[in-house]
Amino acid sequence: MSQDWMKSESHVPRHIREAVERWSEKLTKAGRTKEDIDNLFSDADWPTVVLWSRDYSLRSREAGGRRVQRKIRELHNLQTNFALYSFIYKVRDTIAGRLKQLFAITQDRVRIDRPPAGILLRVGRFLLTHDAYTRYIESYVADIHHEYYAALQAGEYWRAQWVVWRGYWRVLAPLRGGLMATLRALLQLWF
Amino acid sequence: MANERLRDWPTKAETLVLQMLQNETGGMYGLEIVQASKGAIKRGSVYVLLGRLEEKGFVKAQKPKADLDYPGLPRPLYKLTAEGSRVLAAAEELGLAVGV
Repeated sequence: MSQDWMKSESHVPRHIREAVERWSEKLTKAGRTKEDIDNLFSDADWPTVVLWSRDYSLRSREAGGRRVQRKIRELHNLQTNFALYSFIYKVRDTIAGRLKQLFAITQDRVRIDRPPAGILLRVGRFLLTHDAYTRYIESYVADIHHEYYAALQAGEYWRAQWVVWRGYWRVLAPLRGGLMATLRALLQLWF
Repeated sequence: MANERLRDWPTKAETLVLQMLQNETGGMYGLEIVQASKGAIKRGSVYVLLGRLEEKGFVKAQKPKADLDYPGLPRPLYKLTAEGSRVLAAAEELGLAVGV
């Protein structure tokens, strides 16, 4: 629809006509339908091109030529952006499709998870005596497990995650304090 | 000998734990003790206290057998021993508690 005006408007300069045909070809190669191209150009740009090409035919060759050239440059940028956006949308659609697939898989399948705070148990087993490990770490982690599974049973997935992170954070608190004290002592020694 | 016995005397926090365990004949879990203390005992220190009381012989930890339906670690259940009960009675009678 948008390119029909060219046929009726005999005063449209030849180089504009050729440029329009070139853009159309490029966009068609980019995988867009004719409707897309028509919609893209018909909305705002064709009337302007028509107007300016009329100007071009009426005014002096030099002044009009510069304006038409500027417009052609604008349209060229528009075409470049259009190709870029079409690529971005393609990537976005692909990612969205894959994610949808992934969620569908995870929702349908039964997952087997290890109980949480496994790292804490392993580190405790490595660092502490058996007695201290059983008395302090195992009991502490058992509490985490209890709260974690209670939250999961209640369907509160995020609360369950929070329980685990809070558990780790509390264990690390004395270590953080010790580290800060060491740093402070070192700074006092240096300065 | 007397000094050793005095060293075993429960602190204020330990006395609090012993009192809570005395009220619960079925025993209590560590987390239940924390919740019942209303902020007096923290999660990070409850097992240190219970461990110390266990060493002194005032409480006994019972570990239930692993349950196949429950994937987590079993929680130890703490109960007051006869000695713990006697010490608590003496501490309450004398109104003595050493430190915190």
